[in-house]
Amino acid sequence: MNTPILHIEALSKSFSLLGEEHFFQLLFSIRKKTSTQIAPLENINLSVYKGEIIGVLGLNGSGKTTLTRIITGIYEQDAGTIKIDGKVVAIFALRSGFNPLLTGRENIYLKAALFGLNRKEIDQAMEEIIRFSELQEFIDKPLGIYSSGMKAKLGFAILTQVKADLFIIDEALAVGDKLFRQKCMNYLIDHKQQSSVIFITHVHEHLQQFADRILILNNGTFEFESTDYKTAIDYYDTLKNKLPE
Amino acid sequence: MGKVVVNSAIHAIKLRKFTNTLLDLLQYSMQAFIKSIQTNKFLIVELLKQNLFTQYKQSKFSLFWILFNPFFQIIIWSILHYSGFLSVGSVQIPYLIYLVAGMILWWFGFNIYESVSTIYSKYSGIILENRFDLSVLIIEAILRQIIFFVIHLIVFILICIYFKFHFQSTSILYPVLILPLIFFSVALGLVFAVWRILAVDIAMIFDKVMALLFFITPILYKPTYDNPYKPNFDNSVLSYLIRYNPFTHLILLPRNAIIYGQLPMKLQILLLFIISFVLMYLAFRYFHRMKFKTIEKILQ
Repeated sequence: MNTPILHIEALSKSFSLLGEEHFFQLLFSIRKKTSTQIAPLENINLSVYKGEIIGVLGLNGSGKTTLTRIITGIYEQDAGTIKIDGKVVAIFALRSGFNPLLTGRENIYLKAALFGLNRKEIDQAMEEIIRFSELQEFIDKPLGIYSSGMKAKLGFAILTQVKADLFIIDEALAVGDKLFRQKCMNYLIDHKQQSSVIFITHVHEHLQQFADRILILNNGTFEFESTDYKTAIDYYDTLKNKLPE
Repeated sequence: MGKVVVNSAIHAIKLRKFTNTLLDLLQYSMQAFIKSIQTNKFLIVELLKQNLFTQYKQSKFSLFWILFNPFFQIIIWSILHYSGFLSVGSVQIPYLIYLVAGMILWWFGFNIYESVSTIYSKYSGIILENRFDLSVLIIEAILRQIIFFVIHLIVFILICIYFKFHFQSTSILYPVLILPLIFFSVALGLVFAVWRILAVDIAMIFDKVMALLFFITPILYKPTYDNPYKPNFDNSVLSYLIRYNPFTHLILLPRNAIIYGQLPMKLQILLLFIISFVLMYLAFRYFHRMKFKTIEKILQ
């Protein structure tokens, strides 16, 4: 556990609203502070080591998704450094990236290609993906007829074939039946030596059984960190109780 | 005298340095671009398959719609011409051949512009949830339009065969002569892909300008015989617009080569290639420079 897979230092991010910037600033990417800026993240520090499963708890609007997008390189940070040693794959919603007009099998090719797999790798993994998803009967039917839970099953089954050093799962296991959710969590625990996990959620029940560490994200900063589930949840509940009815 | 010579030498060195830097930059960008194609070729193929096969998947006459949608305009313009409503000047060849030869090139350019300029809106879900090289989406959009263009070209060739039209020897240059049109359309598409998110009104105005550009490109009518870039009517403003409309030159270059065997001066061809390529290169740089800012604004 010496070299972190992910090391974030003093990371900050702010957004200026569309319409607030001068026309030329906007069209030629001239960064200048505007009167109204939203700062979803401020002074974020985080290290994730091999074999770790980290839970990040945050209320709605606390900056969870922005953090995931910055780590994966979809957004650019304003300040701070991110060092990544390995391959990072983020999953925002297991159902996204699918085309309802294509069959389950065709969608496996599409989504796995988005995760960086090539045809040969997908062909080799196809049977395992179908088996894990438990969708043998539906795999050659259009995805449009699948329920949300079935799409989530297919999404996670594809993920099991992606070789990553770190998975960031952002609210992705909120759908699907309880049994399948348990199956997914068991998979993550069993494979944590190969792939560390940052599990981002606002529902703490998901973290109880498998998070090695829990961080509480509030108003764009990590306010609290604990290896003890109960202590972390008490703090999180206090935050929730402070919310207006 | 000696001072002038020294100054000229310094200028020549500066120019050479500048050219070398530009060429290095160009070579680096091209290498990065080719590497991106090699790395992501499977994803490009999958997106291409998805777009080609799902577009008309719920239709029983999918191939028919691919052909009918663009050729519907040709039928209307042909009816207007053959019934005498539309005066186009003497085109010296069957009007249908003249019309289709120009129309397929216009659609090609316009569709490249449209499909490249809408990648952020079309793929917003994928872009916001997956990290991948956005060049993949640009390449897929261009390849898709090339496939449609080839289908249209086959129909054009069938029409020529029906009319027993003999192709000119310069037709062999056709695949090369359409390159400036591709470069220029991609350049426009890349700039407006960004502006469609950041400056929606400008992009919408430009969509109307593109519709207008169709009418000030000699596709429906014939330019004068002695000057292929001058229209056969006497309206100085319109003539000026047609002459300085880039699509006039980009479309007439391959079209006149295939139907009239005419090629402009070598310098003019060279300029078209250089200008359109440099514009595409600059547009790529702009698109990538604006990437993060554009993605951030998708949801606003």
